[in-house]
This record gives sequence, structure tokens and C-alpha cells, in this order.
Amino acid sequence: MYGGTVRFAVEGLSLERLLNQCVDTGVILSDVRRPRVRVITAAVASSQFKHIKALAKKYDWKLTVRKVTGLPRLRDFAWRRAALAAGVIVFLAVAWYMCNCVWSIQIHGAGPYLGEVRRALLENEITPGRFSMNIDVEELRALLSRRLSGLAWVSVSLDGVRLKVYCVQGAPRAESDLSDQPRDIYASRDGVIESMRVAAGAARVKQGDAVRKGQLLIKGEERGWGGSTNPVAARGEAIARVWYTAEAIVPMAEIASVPDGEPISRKVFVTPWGEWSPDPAPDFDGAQAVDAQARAVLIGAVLPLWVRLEEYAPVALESRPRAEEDVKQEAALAALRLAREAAGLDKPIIDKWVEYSIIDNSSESGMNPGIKAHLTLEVLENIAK
Amino acid sequence: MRKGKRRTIRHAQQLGLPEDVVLGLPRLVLHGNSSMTLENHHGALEYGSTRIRMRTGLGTLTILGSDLSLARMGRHDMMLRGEIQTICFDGAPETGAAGSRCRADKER
Repeated sequence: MYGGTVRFAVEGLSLERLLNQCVDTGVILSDVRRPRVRVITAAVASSQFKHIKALAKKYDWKLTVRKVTGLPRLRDFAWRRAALAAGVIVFLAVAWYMCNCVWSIQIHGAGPYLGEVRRALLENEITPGRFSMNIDVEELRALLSRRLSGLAWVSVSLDGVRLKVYCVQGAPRAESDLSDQPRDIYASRDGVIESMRVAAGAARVKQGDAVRKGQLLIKGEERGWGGSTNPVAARGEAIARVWYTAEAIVPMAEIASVPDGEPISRKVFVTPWGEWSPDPAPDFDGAQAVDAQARAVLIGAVLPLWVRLEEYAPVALESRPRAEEDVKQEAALAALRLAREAAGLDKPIIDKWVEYSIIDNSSESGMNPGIKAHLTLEVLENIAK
Repeated sequence: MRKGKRRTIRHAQQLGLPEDVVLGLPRLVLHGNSSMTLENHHGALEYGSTRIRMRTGLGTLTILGSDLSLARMGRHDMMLRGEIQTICFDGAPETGAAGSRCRADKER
């Protein structure tokens, strides 16, 4: 029974009267037993137990409560252990509150507007620890869209204890695209034309032509009736294979630390409020590097106290030669990364090739002798500007 | 049974009406010999682990058995559990073994 039941025993004479009185007053008894002539045990809903008490008092029966189950038992338990019950209630309340706060704010895709987005959130007092039920995400989204005109699209959502802000930056059209004044389109860099798409004007190059930077690609004129030509604002795109180059130098040797002294152990007690150690901090020679390893040992599951064991060892720095292939590979990867950053990460790559050269003197790189990777990246790009 | 009640029973039978509803007669459902449901009772006269006597519209209903207990006791219905051996009404023809037991029980 949801509201709980009370199992009781009634002792006295003429106990059939109890059954009949219960029948008359609408009290429903269950599991009625008569272990002895003068004793009846039964169970009744806790809400109806007061009638049993009244009957027992009226007929001078001895009433004994044997067992209480359900919510009344929980209530009695909580009443007897008020501190525990209060602690549980406080814990549940705090847990609920903590689960309804924003503890992490994630901003994606804002790019150069990241600071502006953060400032807007800060001005609206949206910081970690803010109660999430007080955050109107739709209003916040509208505010960011209104305030940051450079963003084409903004989404704000609450995901548990995380506030996620997704932004897409707008790509403003060039002012020349917006103008209707007659104009031509020129190549923005050297390349080989792969495809031409002309929306307005007349193409002056075709697929396979090698063009130089500044060369006319689309003429801003169109042929009219009678052989006349009308000036127009040229529009279109010229997809061409273009090249980006990048260089990276990686030294042939690496610096490694080799222990050359007696290691020293140190024990540090760490709490969230500070740390303390009975051992003094090691005092090493400034010319020697120090290698430290820390290991955290948890003391107890409740106390916020850790013991960190630190191992200090004096080391010497020495130069070790590296395998040439490894150095070449590292230099090529670094050059590729630089070239891709220069070309733009969204450009499709057609081809790439690397040339290596050995740097002997340190004057060029300012470092030890190394390998220079010269990488050329071929990508497809619209060069019509 | 009174004459008027007998006539009412006859009329109910002629009209095809359930007698327990029309006259408030007891309705017994026996599940093997381990439990029994009784509806339309008027209260308990005696309750023990071997003998239960209930007031009904047909008189006193006596149930004999062992380990008898009331699983549920409501205003108009009750459910009995235990090993039921004999069920009889006061005024029923007291023939056979059950009748003898009831008769002996009544004389006690």
C-alpha cells in the first residue's frame, strides 16, 4: 500500500466486535489472524489506524503496534534522526542546485569574435556558476546575433551543465561585387586556369592558360545588338591551380637530459588551500637541470589531503644526433603545416612536393646544423578578384 | 425463511434477476479448499483459527477448518484463507458428514 500499513495486535474480550465495528465504519482489515483466543492481529492502512485506536480505547482493548511499513515508517525514521534527514534534504537540494547551474561555457566557431562573445556573455552575467533556469537561451541568441553583425549564424543551447554557443562567421562580399560600375576582373596570383565561370562580361582566358598575377581574366563588356559593346560590371570565378611554398628547418641533433647525480626524494602534503613539506626544497647548481616526478597518493576518500612524492635528480644536457629520415619527415610536416595555413585550410590540395637541403652553418637558422624542407603545395583557388 | 422472502426469491428467479443482488443474499466463491470469498455478509459472530461464523442474509454461515485467517475483511466482502473443511448454514438440512459436523458444532 502506497500510504503505508500498520500491523497491530489487539488483546481483549469479544474481539469479533472489532471486526464488526471495522465493517460498520468502513475500515478494511487484511491478514487477520487469531493466534490466541484473546488476541487478534491484523494489518490496516495507516490512514485508518486512528479508527482502530478509537475502538481499542472505547472497548478497553490492549492495542500493540507490531510493524509499520511504507511512508509512515520513513517519516518516523526521519523524525527520530532529524540531523540525518536534514543532511539528506540539504544534500539533495545542493545536488539539484549544482546540476542546474552552468559550469562550463563552450564557444565554437567564433574566431576573431571570441572575445566579443565572451564580453557579451559577461555583461549578461553568464558566468560559470550561474543558475541555468534564469538563462533565456533564445534571448541570449537574439542578443548575440544583434550585437555581433560579423556572425552569420548563432546558436545557444544548454546541455546539462554546459552552455554551448555555436557561431558561424559571415563572409562579407567584396565592395567591388556590390558595385554596378563597369569593371574588369584580374588574376590575384599566378596559376593555371582549370575552369572559368562567367556571370557577366567576357572571358579573356580559357582552361589550360597560364596566367600571371594582374592579368585580365574577365573583361567588363558585353556585345549588344548591331555589334556594339556595352560596359558591365564583370562577375565570375576563375578556378586555377596555384602554388604556395613554405620552408621549415629542423636541427639534426636533439638535446637530452641524462641523470648525473644522486636523486633526492621529497614528500609534500597537498590540500586545496596550500601545500607543506617537512623536507627542504633541493638546491641544485644552476648549471644543472632538474628533473622532477610527482606522484599523488590519496589519503582517505573524504579528506581533501594528498601526499605528493617528488623525485629530483640532477641531470646534464647533452646533444644527441637524430636519424636523418626522422628529421626530414619532421621538417616536411612542419613545412606542410605552414603552407596549408598560408593557402587556407579549406582549399583542395592537388599535389605537393618537398625538396631537402642540409644546413651546415648555424648562421642561417641560428641553431645547430639541420635539414631545411622546402615544400610546394598545389591547390585549387578562385583567383578572380 | 420467511414467506415474503421466499416469494421475492421466486419472483427474482422468474424475472431472471440475480438473487444476491436483489435480496442481498450471500455469495460464496470457493477456490479449492484453500480460500474462500464471501460477499454480502453482515458481520462476524465468531472468529478463530478453526471456526468462523458469519452473519448473512440467509442466517449464520459456519466455516470449519484449520489455520483459518481473514486475508481481507471489508464492509461487504471478506476473503478467507486456510484449510476449509466444512461450510454450512444454520437451518440447512443437516445430513451427511458435513451436516453432522455442523450439528455437532452447533451443539457445542
